[in-house]
Amino acid sequence: MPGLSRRRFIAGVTGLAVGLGLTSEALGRALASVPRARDVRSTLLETIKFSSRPIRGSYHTLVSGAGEDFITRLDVLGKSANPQRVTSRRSLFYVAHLSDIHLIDAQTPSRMEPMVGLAKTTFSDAFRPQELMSTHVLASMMVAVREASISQVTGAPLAAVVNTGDSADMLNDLETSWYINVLDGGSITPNSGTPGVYEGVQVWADAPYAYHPDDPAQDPYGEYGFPQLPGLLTAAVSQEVSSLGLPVPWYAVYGNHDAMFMGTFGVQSQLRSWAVGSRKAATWEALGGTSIAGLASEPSAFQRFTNSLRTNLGLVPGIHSVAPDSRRRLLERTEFMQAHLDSPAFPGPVGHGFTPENVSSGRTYWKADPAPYIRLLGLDTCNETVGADGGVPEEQFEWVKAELDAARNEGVLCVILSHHNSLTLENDAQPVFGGPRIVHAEEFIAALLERPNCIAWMNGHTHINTINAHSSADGSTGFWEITSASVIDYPQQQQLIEIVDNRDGTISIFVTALDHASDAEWVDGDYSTRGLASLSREFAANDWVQNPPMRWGSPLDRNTELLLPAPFDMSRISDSTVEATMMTARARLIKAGVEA
Amino acid sequence: MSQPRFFRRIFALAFTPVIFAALSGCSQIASLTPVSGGPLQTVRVAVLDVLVQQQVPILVAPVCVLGDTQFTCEGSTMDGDSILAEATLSVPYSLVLTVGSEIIYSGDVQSVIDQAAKSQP
Repeated sequence: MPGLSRRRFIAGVTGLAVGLGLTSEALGRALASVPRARDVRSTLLETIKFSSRPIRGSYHTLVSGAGEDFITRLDVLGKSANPQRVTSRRSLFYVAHLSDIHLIDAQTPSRMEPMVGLAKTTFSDAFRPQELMSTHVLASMMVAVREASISQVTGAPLAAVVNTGDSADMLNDLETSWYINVLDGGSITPNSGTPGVYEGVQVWADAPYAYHPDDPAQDPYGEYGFPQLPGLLTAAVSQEVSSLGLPVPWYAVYGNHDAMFMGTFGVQSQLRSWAVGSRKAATWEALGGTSIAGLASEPSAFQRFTNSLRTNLGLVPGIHSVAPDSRRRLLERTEFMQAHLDSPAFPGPVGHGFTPENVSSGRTYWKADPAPYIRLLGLDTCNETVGADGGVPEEQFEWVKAELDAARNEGVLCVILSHHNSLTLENDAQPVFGGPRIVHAEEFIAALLERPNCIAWMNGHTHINTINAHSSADGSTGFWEITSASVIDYPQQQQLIEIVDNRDGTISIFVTALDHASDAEWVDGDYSTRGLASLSREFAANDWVQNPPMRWGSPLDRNTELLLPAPFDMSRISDSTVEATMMTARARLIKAGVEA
Repeated sequence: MSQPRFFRRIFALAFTPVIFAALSGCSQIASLTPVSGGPLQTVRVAVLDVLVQQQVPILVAPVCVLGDTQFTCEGSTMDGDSILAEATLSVPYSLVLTVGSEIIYSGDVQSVIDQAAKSQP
């Protein structure tokens, strides 16, 4: 199949140079060179493991372990792979997959940490020992993505990044702006309220359920073996975090934490004012007495007034005075999309999948073509009625089927993006009156299997590396469901995913687990961005209630080559189209300074 | 705070969502659970860890389902043998993993996962 001609190469360089603001000569010289994967740390070469023995109580440090090579998975193909594919294959699309970032403004009054004291297992995400360092981890993940911008499998350039939701943790305006800022590139100080001062449960004696790094002796974390680290809280909230951002276009979908309070509930007016106010609950008695109970009972105006007065006068035990901050306001449903539209044009795309039409109509799902032969279908699987798990509303289900059918006619491969995965698509909650039919996993998967140009479904939600095969009953078609771990919980890994045409009637999807760019072993006293990211991973590894080792998944959920039958004659996608797409992607990396 | 008042508030906090959901429709009560699938995933990860550690040539990785009395995971090998895993529903989960007619693992689930995540001394 003919590749890109010299004439088309030169024309392409000229067009790209104009579009990206580079000189044709420099761009042409860079593009003519052979791209080379950087000699960077990768889970192919090195993994992060628990120390063989705890160093204090039950507390483990983390250490470097052996790398993990790709494991070939044949579940969908149903037979041995052709060994010749290695020499004949061509890369079609190389993308990074982010999910469950959970950037946390840990000092907001609307954060409900005392619920951990009520039932740590049930409400384990109400407080995490590493939650003050979520921004540092995300910034380090941006470094890792940039370092991995040339594929270690084929040398293809990174073409896009997809983010499958739960970007903010508490529906908080500040969290959302921080997350977008880190992905776009910029500097932030991850603090709210009083500048340079941490105000929250980690310094309050009446919050014994939390980790108190200044003196953990009296809390369960200290008992477990978490270290005493005076100065940690101040360092985390007072130092600027700089992010180079992503070098390529990135796309986002809604997660339940981007759509609902605590990822589970609708928002009522009292909670909105509580979020930007000056009182924060340390105990769940106070939380229940003043905020949650008030939310449910809808007290009279007089009762609300007296409650407010008592709280403001400091007469309610367990309520602390904090500096109010209007940036902590809780977002309305469409404001999350608008925030993406307000993001800068580079790395783009404007809206990151969302369009002005999405905002005006309230429709929260979208499609985009990051390559002429790849279509992303970005879904919103949140059930806004109530509940953490999700479903596919019928209107969206019909849209997905129609889009897959249209793409198949065009010879376009499709990747589904959603927050919820097939284990968590069973939330049938309906409002009291009306509400759409909710499509569950079984019906959704069956519809995708009838449309074999859907080759992958990327998602998150469970914070566990998981890769599942879905095959038709006769074994002739299928797709791969690829679920990423989270940025917030152990192992704090994301994924690199590359779609490769083997030119033998099969497609391979390479998945590589991606650690953020910080050391496995935290160096005592290192409170730099990179150091705090390393410490965050160590804390996450020891947050015992989350069962951290399980969240790493099995080797079949990490570095894998996932085979499947090609859904159509892949020669419909010409080499010249692929090469032009790769050239555009490389030019973007050159502009971003990732590839010289 | 007096004991009755204290417990009233506990009740308010713990059951507010449930009461609210009950007033709004039965479908909402069922939805007020934490993120699904944790126990199933725990068993699945242990099963796959054992298979990889013992270098079983997998064609179809076991798919796990939650039954009334146990977790069951079924898959197959490149040699055409069946892979069957059965695990108890109660913590600590206990697992029996069979390939063909041979039991290749019988024991605790969590210890498999913990061991796989640790560096070797």
